[in-house]
Amino acid sequence: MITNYIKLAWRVLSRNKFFTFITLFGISFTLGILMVIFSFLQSELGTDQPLTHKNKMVFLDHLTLRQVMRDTIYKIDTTFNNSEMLLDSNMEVKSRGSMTWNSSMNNGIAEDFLSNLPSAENTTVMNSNSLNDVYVNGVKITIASLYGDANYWDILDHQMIEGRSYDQAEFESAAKVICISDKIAKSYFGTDKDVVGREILIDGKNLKVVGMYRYQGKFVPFVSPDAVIPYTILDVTNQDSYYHGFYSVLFKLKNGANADNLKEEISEANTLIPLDHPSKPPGYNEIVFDPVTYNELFANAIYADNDDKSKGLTIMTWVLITLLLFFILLPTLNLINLNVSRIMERSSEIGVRKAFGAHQGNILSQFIIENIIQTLLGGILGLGLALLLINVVNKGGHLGDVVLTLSPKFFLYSFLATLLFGVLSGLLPAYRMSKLQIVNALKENTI
Amino acid sequence: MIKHILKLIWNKKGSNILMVLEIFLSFLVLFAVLSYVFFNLERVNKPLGFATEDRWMIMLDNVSVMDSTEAVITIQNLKRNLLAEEEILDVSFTPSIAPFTNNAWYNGTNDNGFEMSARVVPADIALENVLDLNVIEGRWFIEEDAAAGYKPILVNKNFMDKYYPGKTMIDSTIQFDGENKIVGVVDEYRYPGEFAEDHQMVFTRRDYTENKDFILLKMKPGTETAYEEQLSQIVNTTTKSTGSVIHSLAKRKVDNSRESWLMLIALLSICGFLCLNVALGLFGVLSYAINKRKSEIGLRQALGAHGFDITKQFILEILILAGVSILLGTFFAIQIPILKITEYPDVFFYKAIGYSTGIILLLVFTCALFPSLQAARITPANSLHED
Repeated sequence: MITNYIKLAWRVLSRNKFFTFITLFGISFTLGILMVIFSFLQSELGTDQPLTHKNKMVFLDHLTLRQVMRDTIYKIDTTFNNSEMLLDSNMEVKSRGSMTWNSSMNNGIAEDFLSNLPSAENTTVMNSNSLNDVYVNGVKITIASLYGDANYWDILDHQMIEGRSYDQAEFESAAKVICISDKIAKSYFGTDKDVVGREILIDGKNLKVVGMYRYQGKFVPFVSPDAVIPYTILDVTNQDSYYHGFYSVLFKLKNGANADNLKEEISEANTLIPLDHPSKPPGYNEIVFDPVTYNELFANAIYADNDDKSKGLTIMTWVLITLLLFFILLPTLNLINLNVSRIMERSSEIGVRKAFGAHQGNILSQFIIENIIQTLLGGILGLGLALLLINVVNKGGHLGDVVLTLSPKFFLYSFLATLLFGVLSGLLPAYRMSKLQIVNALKENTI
Repeated sequence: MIKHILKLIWNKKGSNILMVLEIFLSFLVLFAVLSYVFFNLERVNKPLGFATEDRWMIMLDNVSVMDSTEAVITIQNLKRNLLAEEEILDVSFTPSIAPFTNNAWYNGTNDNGFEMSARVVPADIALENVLDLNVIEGRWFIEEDAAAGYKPILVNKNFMDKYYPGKTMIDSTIQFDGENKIVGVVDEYRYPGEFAEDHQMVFTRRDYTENKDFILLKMKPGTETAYEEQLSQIVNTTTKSTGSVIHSLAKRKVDNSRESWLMLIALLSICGFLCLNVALGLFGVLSYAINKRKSEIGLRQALGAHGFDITKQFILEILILAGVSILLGTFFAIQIPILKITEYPDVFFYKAIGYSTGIILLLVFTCALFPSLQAARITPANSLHED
């Protein structure tokens, strides 16, 4: 049965080359671009290494000092009661605006007040905004290094190619060690083989390479640093104040704990922090923490709402869904349109099948299967196109350092999308065809 | 004629509705993409207002955390040592509000109900020369400002247009975070990058020794990047640190805009593909439909219709369908500027509606032309013979 359908589908495809071209062009481009979008979302928001624990991450980028300025407004109403003047005064306190100061925080705040929250399994304090120029034979290499503690390696699951990550003892003893990515190994040493044990000169210090991990380009800097160094080797005394400094905090959720609970615990930790430290700039009377999950962090990079950090994600999700819907709907409609107008081409075939006892369901399934075969063919072409595009994007560095990846999940999603596309675009035409009366079908054309 | 065509369209409403829906959706997609593109292109086409060729930027590492006297001495030494270099023509020190960063300092004031807000850019005397800022009225800061009894500021043209349109405010004192005297107007300084939105700006004078974050350098034209290593050594020895980072502003400009360009190009190519797809589909459907109406064409020709009449009929048919879809699309699209759903200026949306209408009509016309011309060539003998 199926082989028959496949044979038929093939015949139909080769009968009218122009229509086949239009159909396959539409299908393959739509699916190809869908696959590239999947691949992008998959590499940025999937749970591949090093983002294995992505869904357990909560990130606190900065500490906000806030001063709400209030104004007292007096209102006096004059009313007349029996031609006697009465004064009625009331007052209200309104916020006249606020002054805020956002900055990454001092590592002391992070270590003292944020490291032992009940819902967090692990906490890492890090500075991922550090750039260093190093010169190798007169050529400048800019290294985006991350200064972190040993917990970093537990929360971000980097794939170690050589050596190991530095441990807690090395972190505490301020050992001059560094873990580098294979990308930096290639540009600094000219090779990504046997780099463990060699030394690299960063920021005036000779650091010993203890490990090399695979570089996975991502938009979020702390996921794909060029090198990771224990921050204990830095002088931490010269930060802005007791409150502000160079550091951000990344939390890993306990198994079974709720991310919202953890976010609440982080937000409420502000009450523990003393507000009377002499290094505090005058005026500010409140500390605010606004932690975000990884998806929210990503969405906020595109659209951020300052009052509600989780709103960005909701909006971006809806925007993405609408865009994708439009993007799929148009080619689908196009295909339906094309198929519907071509029903009559095959009316005699349907008539004969029906005359020999085929049910409406038989006809329906025949045409849907035919359409699925067609879309699968387009899907294969689309896959080729997607691979080509991904290759071009990765080779040309069009997304900066971001590397699009392919994974089994990507193929699964693409296959499902293709199938859905096939069923959707085939359903209406097939239904119309299956409803055709034998008399009408056979009358129109000669066999 | 039109009535006749409307009747024909109504008779085939089943398949025509699909076509209307398809054109309607294409219109909406085109509208959305074009609004976005027009909005961004307008910003890109505006000048940045400052030079980037042969301009370098050094991000200082540790000066901001030195104690104040040490910092002042370090910066004075830095300026002297840098200016002594043959390759460096001029040196300006800025706080972290510098070209191609997203750092911004907003300040606002409410002077007896007259509200003003602006981005504040603290600048030293050399900034104008180093970045080739265009002072269109008045003057830039001068040495005498330091000892003058007023607080000098410059504003940008946008600020003047918004708060003092048509006036000259040179040497006037305004209330903006205290009393300030406007000494000049700068054309534009869109420091965050090519895609940055317009903003009112106020330049305040700040001595270079107080700017501890970035150094902007005007280099001798044609300075090689290999000079960077030597430069970094000068900076590192003077500041006794190792963490300074050197950027070329020309390169930062490209890097800074890359994502926005990528987004524009991706959107435009996806939109172009959708249009091509729809056009091919329409072409297929139309040529098929016209083929199926051979006997109708034959009859009309037998009754004396010319080839041109036939072509006109089919093209009008599809143009009416397109018109209905566009009207429907415009109804939805126009809500955005009318109801002020977004904060973007209305003009882009109207422009996008206009262009989308044009593109759709052109597309539909081209797709209908070929099959309709073919239809006109059908002879009654052939078409009526078949049935």
